[in-house]
Amino acid sequence: MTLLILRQLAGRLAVAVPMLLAVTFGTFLLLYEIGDPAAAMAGEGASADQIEQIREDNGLDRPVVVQYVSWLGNVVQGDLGASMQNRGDVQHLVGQYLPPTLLLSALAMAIAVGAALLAGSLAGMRPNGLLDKVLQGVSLLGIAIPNFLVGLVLILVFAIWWPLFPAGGYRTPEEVGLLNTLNYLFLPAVALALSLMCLQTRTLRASLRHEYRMDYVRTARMKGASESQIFFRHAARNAAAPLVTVIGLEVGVLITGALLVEVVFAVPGIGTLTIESVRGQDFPVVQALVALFGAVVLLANLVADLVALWLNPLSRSKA
Amino acid sequence: MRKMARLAAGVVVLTSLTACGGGGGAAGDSQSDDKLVFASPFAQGTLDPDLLPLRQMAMYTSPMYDTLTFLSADETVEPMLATEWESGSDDKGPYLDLTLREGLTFDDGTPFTATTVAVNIKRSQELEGSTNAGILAGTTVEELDESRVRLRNEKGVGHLPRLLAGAAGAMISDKAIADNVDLTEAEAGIGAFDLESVQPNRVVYTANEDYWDAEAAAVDTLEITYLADDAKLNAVRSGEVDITILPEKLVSTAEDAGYGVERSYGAENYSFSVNTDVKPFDDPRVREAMNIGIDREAMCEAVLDGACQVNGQLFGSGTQAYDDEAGLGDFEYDVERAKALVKEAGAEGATFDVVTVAGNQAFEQITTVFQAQMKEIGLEAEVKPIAPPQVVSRFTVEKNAPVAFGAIGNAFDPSESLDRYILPTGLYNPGGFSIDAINELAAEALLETDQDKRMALYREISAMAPADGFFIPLMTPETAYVVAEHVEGWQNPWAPSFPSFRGVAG
Repeated sequence: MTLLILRQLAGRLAVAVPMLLAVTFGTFLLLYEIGDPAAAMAGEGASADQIEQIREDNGLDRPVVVQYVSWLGNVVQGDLGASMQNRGDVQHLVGQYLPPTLLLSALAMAIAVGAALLAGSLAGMRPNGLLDKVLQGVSLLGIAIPNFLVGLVLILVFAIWWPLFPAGGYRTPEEVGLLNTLNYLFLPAVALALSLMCLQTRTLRASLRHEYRMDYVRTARMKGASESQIFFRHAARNAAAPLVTVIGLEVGVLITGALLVEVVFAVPGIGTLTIESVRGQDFPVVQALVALFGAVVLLANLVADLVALWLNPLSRSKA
Repeated sequence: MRKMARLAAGVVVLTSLTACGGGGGAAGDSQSDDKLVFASPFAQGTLDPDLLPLRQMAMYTSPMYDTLTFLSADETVEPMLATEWESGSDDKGPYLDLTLREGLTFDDGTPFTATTVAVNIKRSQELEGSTNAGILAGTTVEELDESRVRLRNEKGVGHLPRLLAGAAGAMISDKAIADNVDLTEAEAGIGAFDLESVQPNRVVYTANEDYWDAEAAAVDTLEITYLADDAKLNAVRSGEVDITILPEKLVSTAEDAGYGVERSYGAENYSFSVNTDVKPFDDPRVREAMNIGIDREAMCEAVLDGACQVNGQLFGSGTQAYDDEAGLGDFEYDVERAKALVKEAGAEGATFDVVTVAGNQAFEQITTVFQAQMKEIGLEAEVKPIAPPQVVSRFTVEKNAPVAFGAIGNAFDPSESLDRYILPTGLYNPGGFSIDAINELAAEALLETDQDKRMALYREISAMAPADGFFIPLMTPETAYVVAEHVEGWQNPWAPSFPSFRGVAG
């Protein structure tokens, strides 16, 4: 088992590292195509001479490939560079914007997984029943509606018509306590969770349905096992493997979804920072964020693969 | 699976708890209390007064950094850290003597003295990346005694009383400067408020109990938070902000939510700058054609729902530097004459890029209408919405976009806008176009120290500047300030970017 995990890890890393390099280099080239970083760094009132001086001082007159290699070298040493707009180092900036996003993502994923486990199990255990059909319809709708639209509806209903939650913004746990921080993040988390939950529900339902048709379930029933024993001891565990894979893949959706949801709810997180940095052509920040997103998505997929491997007895027996 | 069931149960409990989280921050923040919440159209960036990437960001520093002078809502220069000032001239040239408020100390215990002013001006001029270096260039400081300084500038000191009301006049503790304290997220000033916390897009201040003017902080807590328009509207509808600025089309929703709306024209002026070095804009007939080929009234109605005043001058119609009598000047819409001028200049079908700031909806819409109106007179404009630094780069450095669109007027003194847009060395005059009469009046206005007389000179310049068409004014937007009913003491500022929260109760 350990050998299989190590092999899987090595294989994934062999793909992930070149992929990360390709993504970051591609972004580097794109940003240069969009505009002149020296002008962006100089600010709105700089003269032509000042811009040229900045270009020279920061080595921006070197070939792009050389600059990329230099950036990469700094990143390896933990230096992500300095923000052009905010005049601080990128690590500090990302560190400021990261906590709301982490909390929001964790809450959204927790809501999605919790609700999907419940709905998917109910639907999967009684396929084609009334509840299954309703959940199928709802989950299809949930996948189809963009999360920013869900967010706007949630604001209208739960912040304006029925003011249970704030319409937007964020307060740190240090300032108002964790419970109130989560209160600020609840509506955006629900908006973000809906499509994740729907896909997870459909996956779990299909997976459970598949497991219930397997011989081992029939054998367990013949041996007199109760439905709850069959579900908890046999079917659910095997059905969870595809769900875990989907959750891993959804980390990417979580990040892209957070970009829009954070803007709708005015949450000062990584999504907001990304949009502000792209708009202001803050090259070092955009570059760092792309690398961060790429690393998170690749890592999440890797973890999901390993967990799925652990959950699936067939994989283990092969090992 | 049991673990998963427990996790699911945990989520349900967590979400229930969250939903019952006491509504902390849910609707009701803007109830009449000891807190004032202002939703700003932009975020703070840095809180160092010498490093503000945009001058408008002084909104975030002004609550905690008093400036030497103060520019009131009606553009009167009032005392602040300097209680009085007197100008004069001697054999070394013009000077401005400032008498400083006595008995003040910074939070770190450093007394506020003439030395403070000297080290601050030096910092503004010499700090790497200082955004105040340009406007304080050539200004020197002499310490006359503990509480008096003499500022000199060989070009004149007439502009200094107004300029020192902006970030350039913000006073930082001598000790903080000597210790090279990082002020990006810290504060070292004398102000009505102290800095409590800095978060991305949100700054919270608390009233400074030791402040010299007991009435300046009328609330215990001041919060300035950046919200995009849609988020601002949501916050207004749920009553979470006390004061904000909204586009005209969103104002009625705010009124429905019980907010009052106070409209005013400010110093801002939407305008095009033209590079006269690039063909066909080296031909005055083409520039004139552009000027009279723009249907300003239609543009104002279409883009800003009529919440604007068409403008044919350099300065915004809400400032003292605007000449009411000159009005739109010679720029009445005349499409037939514009077509004829383009044809006469042989510029029919000429193509050019117009750069403007991406993400600013009004800017993008105005330039799109402009593109259509130019097509009507025979010019092919192509709008390129790009990031702000790129506008500067393409227009002034690369010079491959001969027309730039933006808003001017976010300056404490008219001389700043003049230097930037009209004078031959101006950043936004890459063609170096020069009008002798304006150059002379600009020099005279710097030497003039009577503010009323200075404004009269700028009014003269305001009407003259666009005549040769290298600067094309369009309109002054009307700003709608949305103010909660319980707010007291609010005054519309002289420019939307520079509100004052002194004496404003939430």
